[in-house]
Amino acid sequence: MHKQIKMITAFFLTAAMTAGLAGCSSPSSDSTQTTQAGQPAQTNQADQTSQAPEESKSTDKVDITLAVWTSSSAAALEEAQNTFNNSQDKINFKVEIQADDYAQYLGAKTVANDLPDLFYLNPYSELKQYAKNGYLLDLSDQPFASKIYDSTKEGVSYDGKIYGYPSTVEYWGLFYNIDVFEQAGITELPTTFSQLEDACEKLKASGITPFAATYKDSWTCEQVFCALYAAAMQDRLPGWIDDMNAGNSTFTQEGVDKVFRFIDLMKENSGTNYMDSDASAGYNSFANGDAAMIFLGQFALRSARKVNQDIQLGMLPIPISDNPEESKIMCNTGVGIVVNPNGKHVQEALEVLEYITDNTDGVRNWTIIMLDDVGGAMPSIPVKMQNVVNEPFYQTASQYIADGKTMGKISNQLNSGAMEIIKGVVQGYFADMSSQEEILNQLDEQILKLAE
Amino acid sequence: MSSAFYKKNTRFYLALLIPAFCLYCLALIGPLFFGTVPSSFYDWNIIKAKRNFTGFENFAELIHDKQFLTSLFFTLKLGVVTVTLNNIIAFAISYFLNENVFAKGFTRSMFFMPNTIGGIMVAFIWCFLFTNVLPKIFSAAGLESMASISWFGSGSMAFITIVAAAVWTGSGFLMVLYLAGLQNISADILEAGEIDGCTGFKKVILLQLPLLMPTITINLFVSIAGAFKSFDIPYAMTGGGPAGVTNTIALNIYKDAFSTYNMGYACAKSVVLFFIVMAITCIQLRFTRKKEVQL
Amino acid sequence: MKAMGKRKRRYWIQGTLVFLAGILFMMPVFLIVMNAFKSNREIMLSFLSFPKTLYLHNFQEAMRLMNFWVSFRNTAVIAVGTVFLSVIVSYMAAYGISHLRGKFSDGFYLFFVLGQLVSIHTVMVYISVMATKFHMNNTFWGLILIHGGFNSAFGVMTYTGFLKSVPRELEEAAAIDGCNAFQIMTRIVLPLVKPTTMTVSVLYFLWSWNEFLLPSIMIGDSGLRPLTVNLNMFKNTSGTEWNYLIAGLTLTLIPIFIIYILAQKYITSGMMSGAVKS
Repeated sequence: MHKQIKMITAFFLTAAMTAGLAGCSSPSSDSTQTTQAGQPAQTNQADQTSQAPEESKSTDKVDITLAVWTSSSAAALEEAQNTFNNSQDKINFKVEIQADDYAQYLGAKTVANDLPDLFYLNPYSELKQYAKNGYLLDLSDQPFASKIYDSTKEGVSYDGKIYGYPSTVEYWGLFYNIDVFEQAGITELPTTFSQLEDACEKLKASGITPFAATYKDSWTCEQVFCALYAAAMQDRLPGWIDDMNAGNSTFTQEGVDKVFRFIDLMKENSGTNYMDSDASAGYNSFANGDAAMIFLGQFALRSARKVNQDIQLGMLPIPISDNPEESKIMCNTGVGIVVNPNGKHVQEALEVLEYITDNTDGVRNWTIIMLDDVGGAMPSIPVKMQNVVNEPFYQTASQYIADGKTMGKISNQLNSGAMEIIKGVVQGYFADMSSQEEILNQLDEQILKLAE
Repeated sequence: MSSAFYKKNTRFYLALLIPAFCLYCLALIGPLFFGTVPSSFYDWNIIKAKRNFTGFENFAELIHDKQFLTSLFFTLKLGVVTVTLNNIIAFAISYFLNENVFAKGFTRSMFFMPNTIGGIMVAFIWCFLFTNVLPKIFSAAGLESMASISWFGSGSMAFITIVAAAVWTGSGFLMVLYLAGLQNISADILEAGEIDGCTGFKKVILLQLPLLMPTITINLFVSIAGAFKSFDIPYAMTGGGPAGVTNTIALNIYKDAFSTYNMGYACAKSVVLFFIVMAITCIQLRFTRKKEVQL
Repeated sequence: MKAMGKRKRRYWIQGTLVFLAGILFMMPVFLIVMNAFKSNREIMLSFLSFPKTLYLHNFQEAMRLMNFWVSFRNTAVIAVGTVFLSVIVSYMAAYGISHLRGKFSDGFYLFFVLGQLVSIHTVMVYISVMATKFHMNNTFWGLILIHGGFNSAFGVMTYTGFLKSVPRELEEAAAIDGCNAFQIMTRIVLPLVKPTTMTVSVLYFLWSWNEFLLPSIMIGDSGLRPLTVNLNMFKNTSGTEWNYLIAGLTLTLIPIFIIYILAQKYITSGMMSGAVKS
């Protein structure tokens, strides 16, 4: 069928082209015809030249592709890719950055049964679903499986086996500008909700917006909500997630008022027109010192430091209540790197994965290239970072992680599809369009539908 | 002789259709009839790899789907407003450009330029204008109440931003078509009308608009089809926000397909969307075709 | 004499008004281009003022990050290929439709016109399935064929409208002179529709130049990616890099502007005779 189409098309193309060349030409139409005849020739040539170098490579090298979603670490990815390619001459490792929407790319490739050799997946529900369908290679016997921290295993496991390498642990909290806090006379860091309220008052009194607004991007509302919800639930969280995924629980839980009380505080302290400000605008106002705090993941700090190289960054655990013991940070295995068992060169893909998971001391390995900078996530394997360890916020985060004062991210752990629902619904509370009760009802209604 | 000549060459004329037909099938008809339409009868989630035939269940579910209905209503509203504004503005511009004015070509280019920028970029530009530039302009002009509007904080304001971007980028294209139509109206008819006292506004209503009906038919068709497919601008402008009230159908379908991966359901919506647009454009074509004047 | 004065006044007053409206319309584009010459900080702080210095760093950096010349070449190949294929195919089909008689011709016409109602997102997943099956991923020809299919809906509609208004006497006279049907199509009628061809070409060029979704799904290889895809890389979760984005956008727009200005005297007359009469 396909060949026929191609042949027919080719036939007509040639016919039409020769018609153009052989001319039927009154002198006046000469110009159009020469351009028409000239163009396909160029097309073909360019086509060939662009493919030629690849072919020559593929004769002695195996192509291994890793598909990743966008983050501003394009330069790091390039370095990481080249480091591997320069270290051996058997494999040509290519990192494919997917612009815009990774989910769309992944969906299309999954349906087409054309998944790349290695690719990024969201840990927890998405990764488990792929593992369940047999799209992923069992990696339990790989060397990294014994090296990664136990806390990161849950997100990449299914049925007791490990199906992905958890390459990052993202963390969320209140990141603040240390100098701006000092300017406002905040000498003692807020560890409880009422202290945070006081801090906001002090900041406003010195003409500083307490929170950088990012709420035009619904995903930021979703992340804030998840962090707050987890904080409000404390130890009840894991059990609640299991119940929700089985379809028999509700978002209306004891302590949920604290979530909305916190969002109210953010709304009161995010300046005017906070719904007009997207993540980029928020990063900028935080970086320039217009806003004192930003409530998001560590990735927000990358552009803050890029815009303002002198910014001193600290981190506050989320002061959800008046009990400082309840202030924790949210952590989530951010990326699962998985292997396609139906790829052409599974063995070589595993070699690349071995490079990615390498944590030898004194080597500028994948983890250091990707993560050892402001904005980089925590590694899931023991790696000695050089740069980022000196940053105050990093020290706080490491301390909390070491003490086990962390919470999971609900939107990744609830049935897949929950994230999109939370995004859409929760933004309504930020925009004053729905009440607390309406938000909780909408969440229940839509998320329980995901349970089967 | 002529009809014999055409008859003799019927095969040749049919053969001419083959390449376009093949490409068209490859890009549109094939995927539509072998993919989208059959899938709409399945309960199919991409990443769950389950695919069960459920007949018309997806379609039955649509009627109760609040988000779908909201987005349908929003798309209709957006369609009516953008199609009307686009056509009125495009006609007004082309009317003046058709008159005897200076620097026609240059002015025409300026109006067409926004059409050359892709939808995603148009949305970026307008986001920036609404959040960073407009407030500054308004407060410089002393209009504090206008300067403090939150453009993306409520559905109605976000609607305006989408309309502004869509009209800005869309009217240039329609303008070109209107201008062409106006230039096609024979000068004799207009002169005769002017002698009969048909000048100014009267000339527009009584002579130019009726004679322009074929152009209006096409322009309405093109702009209605475009409005119902509108995706890029709302996607990059508001992302459907705040809280999903500016989701167009295309955006709603997209989110079903790639966020919750409910492909079967998304396909059912696509099929419904296609029939809705077809119905609307058919009514429109009938209506405007009737009004076309035969000379 | 009086009428002359009035006409002249109108020439200037109306002209000035439309011209000013045009400037207002162009303003956003102008602002974007102007701000491409500022640093990120300057953009955020003073968007409306003129750049203090001619800051070219954005362009250099954007070109480096976008891999500009490679992706420019890719885009150009795709756009030129698409224009060429789509124009030929649409013209042939429209010619066939306008010369066939009766229900057959109406049916085909409607068949193509309805295609304009299908949104690309509706069929995207299946295009991806098919592209994989037919090994069209990471190839320019695959992308060009799909573009051609999508464009043919518009092209057939536009060409058919014009071809219906080409006087048949001309063709009949050529037939008597001994031209066969193919020669009539290419020698006699094709030159007559040159304005339409120019118009449709420019639009096809524009559309494929700006197309983002299909290449982002079908082209994975970074060496084969077009400008639009690389331009979108400036927008990610760690913040939009506005300075590079608008510098990149400005660079991307230049070829379109040039092509449009070169072709613009044909566009109006082409449209006039084309779509409008269908």
